[in-house]
Amino acid sequence: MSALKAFGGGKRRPINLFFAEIIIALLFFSVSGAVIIKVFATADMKSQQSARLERVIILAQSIAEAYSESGDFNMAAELVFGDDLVVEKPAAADSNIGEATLSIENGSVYLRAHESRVFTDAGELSNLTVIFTANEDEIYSLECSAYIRNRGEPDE
Amino acid sequence: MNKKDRLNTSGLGVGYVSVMIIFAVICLTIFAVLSFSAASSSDGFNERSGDYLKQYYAADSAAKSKLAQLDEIAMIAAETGFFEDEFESAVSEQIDGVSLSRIAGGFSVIWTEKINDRQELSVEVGFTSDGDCEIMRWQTGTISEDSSDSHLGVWDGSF
Repeated sequence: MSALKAFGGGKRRPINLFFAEIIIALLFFSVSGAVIIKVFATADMKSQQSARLERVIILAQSIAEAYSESGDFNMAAELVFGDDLVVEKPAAADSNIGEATLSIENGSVYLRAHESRVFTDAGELSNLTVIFTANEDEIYSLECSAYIRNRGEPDE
Repeated sequence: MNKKDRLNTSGLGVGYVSVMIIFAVICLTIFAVLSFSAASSSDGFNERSGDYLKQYYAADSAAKSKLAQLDEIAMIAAETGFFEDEFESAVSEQIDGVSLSRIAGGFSVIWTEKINDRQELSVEVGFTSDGDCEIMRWQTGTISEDSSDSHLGVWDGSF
């Protein structure tokens, strides 16, 4: 009789309610937690992409500035990357149109460069397009140019 | 409720767990939204910065292309021996959007390249009669607005 009271007696209602509440609360928490973790994961991924884009933009600007002065992509890349430079496909020096592929950020980001040159009697106008890719997706691209006079640099 | 029943029930009453769970979920939601907002804001800033860089170097490339044309004209004009006449006529015929002014020993050529709706690249290059050139200005500036739109709305004394 006492065992019967312990399982189904009306005096046990507060405990049953407590467990029912805990079950409902845990269910709610698990569903909410899944959504919240997904938001955190998306924010983390976005933050990593943003940090990578920021670094790539700085690299692109550095290359563009170095290229504006020299008109030589190999020199500009060596100046910007230094010892970290890993050239997978070097640019042809004797061609009007050159292409180069560099591996940066330990191989996670690739830099492709297209260079074209227009020769005039007075000098050489060269255009460079740098394209940063990761996993075959383009992260950022920048076009810049350099004008090198045959008779020396313009005075500034 | 007697003493034995009170011992059998939990220390927490009905509702406390729900309140705590709801509080925790609200806190986590706020942190998640703030984290996402900060990451999104940073990403937007970097994209705008990257777009501006593209616009600037597009204007810079256009200016360098024009400089190359002008330099070639100056070289050819210097070789003829009649630099001033040749240079002035060739520039006015072949290149749009530049203004020429005479300076000692040659010309000053001024032009601008638009970067975006608010900024422009202003360039001034001096060419001398021996075909040499000197970049006197290569700087970004704000596009000047129409003075009638930007004046302060104050009374000028007239009725």
